[in-house]
Amino acid sequence: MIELLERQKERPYAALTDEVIAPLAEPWSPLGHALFVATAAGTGILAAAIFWTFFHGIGAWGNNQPVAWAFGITNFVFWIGIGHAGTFISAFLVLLNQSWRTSINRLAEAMTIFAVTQAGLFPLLHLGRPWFFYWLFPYPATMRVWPNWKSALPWDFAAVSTYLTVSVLFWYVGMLPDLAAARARLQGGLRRRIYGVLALGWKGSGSDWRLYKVAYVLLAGLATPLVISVHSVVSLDFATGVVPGWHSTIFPPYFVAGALFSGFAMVLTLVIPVRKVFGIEHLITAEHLDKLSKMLLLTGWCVIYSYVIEFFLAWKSGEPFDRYTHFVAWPLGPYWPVFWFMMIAGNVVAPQFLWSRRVRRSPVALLPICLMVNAGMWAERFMIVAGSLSRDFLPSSWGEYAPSVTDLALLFGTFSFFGFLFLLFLRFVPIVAVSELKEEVHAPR
Amino acid sequence: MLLAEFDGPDELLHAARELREKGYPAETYSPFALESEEELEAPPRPWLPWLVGIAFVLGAVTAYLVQWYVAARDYPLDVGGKPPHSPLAFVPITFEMGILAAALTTVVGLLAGMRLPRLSRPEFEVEGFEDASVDRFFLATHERASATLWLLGAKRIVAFTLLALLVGGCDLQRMTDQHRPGVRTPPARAIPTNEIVDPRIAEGLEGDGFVREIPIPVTRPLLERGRDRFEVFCAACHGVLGNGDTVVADRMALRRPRSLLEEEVRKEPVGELYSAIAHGYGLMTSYAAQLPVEDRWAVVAYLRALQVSQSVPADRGAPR
Repeated sequence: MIELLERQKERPYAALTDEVIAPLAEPWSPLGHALFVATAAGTGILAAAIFWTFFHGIGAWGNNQPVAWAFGITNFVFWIGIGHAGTFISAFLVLLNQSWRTSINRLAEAMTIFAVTQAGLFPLLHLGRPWFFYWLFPYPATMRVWPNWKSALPWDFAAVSTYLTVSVLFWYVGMLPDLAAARARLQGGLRRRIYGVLALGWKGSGSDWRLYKVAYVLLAGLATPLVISVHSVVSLDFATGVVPGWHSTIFPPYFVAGALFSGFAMVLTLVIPVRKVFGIEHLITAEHLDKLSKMLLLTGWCVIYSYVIEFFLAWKSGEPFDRYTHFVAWPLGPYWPVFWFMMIAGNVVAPQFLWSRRVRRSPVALLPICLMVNAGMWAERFMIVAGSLSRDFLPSSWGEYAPSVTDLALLFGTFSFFGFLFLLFLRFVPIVAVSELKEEVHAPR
Repeated sequence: MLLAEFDGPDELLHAARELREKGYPAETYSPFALESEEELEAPPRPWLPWLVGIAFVLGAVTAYLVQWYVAARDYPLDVGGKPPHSPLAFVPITFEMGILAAALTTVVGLLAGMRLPRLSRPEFEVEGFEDASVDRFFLATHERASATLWLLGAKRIVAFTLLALLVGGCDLQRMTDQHRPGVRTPPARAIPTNEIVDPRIAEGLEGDGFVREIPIPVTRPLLERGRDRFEVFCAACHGVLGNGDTVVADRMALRRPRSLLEEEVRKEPVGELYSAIAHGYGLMTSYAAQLPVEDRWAVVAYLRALQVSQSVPADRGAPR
């Protein structure tokens, strides 16, 4: 420790760099090994569930009439929402010159990419015949079949694929200087070579940095409206439908707020153990937890406001089915425990503890709150998707949905796959944007 | 080109600013963006935002036209009685494709502007340069700025050349293994060539005649530097001892390079010796290009020491 402090005095930038870069070359810890094996096994379960879905068809899921959309779309909306906080932290906070994002943006962006990867799986699987997914792309086919632009599905396709592409680009461009640092710092031919190639020959000259800063702000400026558009488009999957509980003009902003809310909860869920395990509590400090918690509280209130308006609109509409869905089917219907114990407890009650400064700065107190919010936001999407479909306009064809084993395996599998990718990220990518940190150290804003 | 290393970001920025003021090119290399560097060269490349803006419009317009052609022209499809050309329904994809085109253009433009990817560069052959992405600060400039670089506090100067890229195709050429005209510690309080206006230092002149005292502080490092330069540039003709006993001199029988130990030379004021180096003397050409001002004075100082050491009578050479 004393040695480290000495080094920090002598070569502060090198010490900072090594703290982030050196773990890339260290052997796996037993904990890392165990988690890696566990998540790899879970990813195997995902693969098996996907195989079974392909082999058997969508009938392998619990979907039925009237609940034709259930876990698949719930998981899709859940995962894509998770991603939004990552982009928000990396892009929107750049535009606002919020320097505290520096320590967590790499991690949050990684979370975005891996979450969107999970999200992208579900619409593909839900196509029924996923091997024809390219029909969504307008190419001159011999059958003269074109996509139907008035359907929300091509919108989703455009929005999600753009989102994934832009997130990866933003992540990678932001990583270039750190890959160059890894190229310089890591011993061993192959490792050095791989990072060297990934760094693309970055040399960090003054003119490079100037152009780089311009490009970074441009990407941030593009990603910010993009992230808002993506969840708005996702919400249109529902809002363009006539099902009670879906057909509401509040949906786009409501979904964006929910997405950010769930995303901030997920960022905290990931950051809290990572900073502990990697011993980087001085890089990701209690201050960061505090700021993230405040964002969580703020977006939480946006969500609460949306709930109030949504229920108000349902009441004000005078539509009996709208009123029934919101005031009877959701709170008292077949999924009432999901509504009360997950959605309301997680999204409305749990965040209120964040008014306390002590809670906001305590990892131990924050973690359960964030897990409750994660569960709550998943439950909210489930209520919207399955809760609404199970009680639509024809009481004679009302029906319930229960997840099949394949459904549960897919949900569990995507969590494992997400964890697996995130572990790989922790293992092979500089988890903190070191070049930005050095800039902060040199000239604090 | 020269690559100079500096202690920290502030020193680097200061040096870059000074060099640019003197009209030299100066490119910095740093592990992080240097804020004030951005102010140094305003406006910062305004072309990328324009390009990205154009890409956004092109992407969006193309996407809209494709949707319109498909839905309204090529195969109009009646969906719920909505008109084939439904602008509102076309908005999401139009927007997303505009963003996609703009983002791709940003990244391609960035890489093109930085001339990346390119895995090999002449700078990379300089030892320690890889740490420019960790905690070291470098500056590339013209060779003629070497004296100024020392004065600005460079820790180390290495010559590197774009030619290395051409010959570098044969083998990895580590520039550090080769002749390095610049790798040295500067003499204390060295004088830069391009700043001197004082004729006593720049020309060795005072009033109507030559200066009689060396006008810069004579220190041990200066003498050592002088010895080094003398043995590189002077000794070939004048001899390592300055006595004019060399192969070159033997071949120049008609007019030998003179012994610098002669009484006549000893009596010359230092300014005259300086002038001979700077402007040449007889058949000797000017060494101004090889020896910057402080090096000339270093040689003069060393020559004086040489003259003293070579004229001590044998009985007075005993150690004290």
